[in-house]
Amino acid sequence: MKAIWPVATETMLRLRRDKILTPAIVISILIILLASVTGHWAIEEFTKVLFDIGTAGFQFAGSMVAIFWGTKCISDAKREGSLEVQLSSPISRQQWIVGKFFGLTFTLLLVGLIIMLNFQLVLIYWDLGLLSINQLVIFGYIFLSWLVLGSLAIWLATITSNAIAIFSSMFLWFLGLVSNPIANTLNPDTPESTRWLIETFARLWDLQQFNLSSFAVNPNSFPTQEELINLAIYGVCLICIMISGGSLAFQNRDIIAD
Amino acid sequence: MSDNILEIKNLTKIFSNDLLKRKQSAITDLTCHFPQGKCTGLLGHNAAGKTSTIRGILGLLKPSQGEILFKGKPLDQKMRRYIGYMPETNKLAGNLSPAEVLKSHMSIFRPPKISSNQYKDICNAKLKEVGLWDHRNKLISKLSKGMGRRLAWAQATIHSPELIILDEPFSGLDPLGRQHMATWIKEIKNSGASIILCTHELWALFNLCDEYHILKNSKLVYSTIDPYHGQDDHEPVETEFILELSGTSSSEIQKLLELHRLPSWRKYLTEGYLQKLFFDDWTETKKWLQIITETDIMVVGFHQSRQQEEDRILTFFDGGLH
Repeated sequence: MKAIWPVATETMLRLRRDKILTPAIVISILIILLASVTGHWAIEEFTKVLFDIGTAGFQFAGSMVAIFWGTKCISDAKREGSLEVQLSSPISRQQWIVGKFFGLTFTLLLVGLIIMLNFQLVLIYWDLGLLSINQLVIFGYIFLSWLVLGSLAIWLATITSNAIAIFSSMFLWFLGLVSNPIANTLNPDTPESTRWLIETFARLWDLQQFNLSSFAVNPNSFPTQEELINLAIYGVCLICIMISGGSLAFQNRDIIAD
Repeated sequence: MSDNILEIKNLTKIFSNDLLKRKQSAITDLTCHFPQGKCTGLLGHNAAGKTSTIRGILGLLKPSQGEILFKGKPLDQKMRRYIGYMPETNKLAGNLSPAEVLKSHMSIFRPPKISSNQYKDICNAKLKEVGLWDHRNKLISKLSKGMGRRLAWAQATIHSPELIILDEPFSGLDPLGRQHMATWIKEIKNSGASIILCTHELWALFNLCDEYHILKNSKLVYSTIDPYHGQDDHEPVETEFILELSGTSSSEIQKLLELHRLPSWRKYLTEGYLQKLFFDDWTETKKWLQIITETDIMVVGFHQSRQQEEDRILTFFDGGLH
């Protein structure tokens, strides 16, 4: 852990100074402000629209940042060559990857807290009070999906170039969002093998289930504690698989800066 | 206890370049030693295998074959704590400051018996030593290349390593910067650290290195530690002593030679008003100096030349050093 911490701290420092941070926070704040305005125009209940658009903005902005930063924290080190210096020190490649992931996690947490604070201010402005426990849980699970995407981006960045890692991560993000809806709406004439393939993929890679925003204003249908724990385990397992994959891919590679 | 800080045994590194798996050898069966407490040069033209050798030592490249021993034991991750590395180009994180880079580096190396609180003092002292104190909070991307080299030096040496690997430390430095760098290298050598100096520059090799290895086409072709390595017809390298005399002539020098039965020179040159006498041996030169100082002849210059050695080194490079 002692070796991981300096890498995590350095990664956090670097990401905090990254150009992506300010636009990402501004965009997400604008989305939340937009949600508070459009909530009054919509036919639906104001709180529901506010939460739907607000959490969608939170999910979108955070996921994009997680992918960009996940790739960037590896590819920048490759491009600048700082990974050569760091990996020639008494630190293993696994520790380096895990350190990078922790650095990314802490910085994303900072971004998440800033956006949530803004959302809270909007709620207070419209006299909707403080965020409830359930609503905090919703934000927590969206944050978990950011980490899944961040770890995916780290994995891909260890084995491929920056551009390919970003596009592949985005493509897999999109697949993760649509996999379950596609599996649930398959044509009855779909061949059995294709159905099995799609359903298996949807079971393994379903990112939409981290978005619990539909339960924001309906506490009665909120997932049970057991379902939430299972979802958290699923998210953590995905992260562990990605980081282990990244570590394994990195383990036997020759380290040559770009 | 081994006298060598580092031993490379039969190291081979083969790269598979592309999908067709065309293979290219970066290092071929390299065996060489790096003595403890000495500065050992690693010389070779571009793509000779110097940087690959260094990367192999640092664990960045996975050797296809062979082993690397540090103080007689296989070099592992933990032992890299005792190694400092200054890469050829500034491989530094552009959006960090020099103070942050050094602090992070110290935290990774965690030198024994030094508490976290002392890290800051050590970093500050190092920043002052390399002249970056006034720039300690600037982003590295805003620093000049020379300042970056100073920071790279600070990074390589801040944890007081036993072995320092310097890959082209003089590249991109102005004359003053080169002078500083040479002084720092000498100082750290005098402190007892072992140095591997990878360079193209012969002046650096002669002024700083005690020993050297020459690589060519991924193989070791010459070594002062094991001079007969791969060279059956090798002649030992000799130093040349040059005596530059003024206010005399070749005939007068010839008379001195016969009168005092002085040893004959290896080479004699007349350059304008200067008479140049070349000797292979110091004792021969000394006899001449003793006699000449008793005459009216002026000794305007006396120096050692490594010309023969330079010529020898250059023979290992087709068309000279690149």
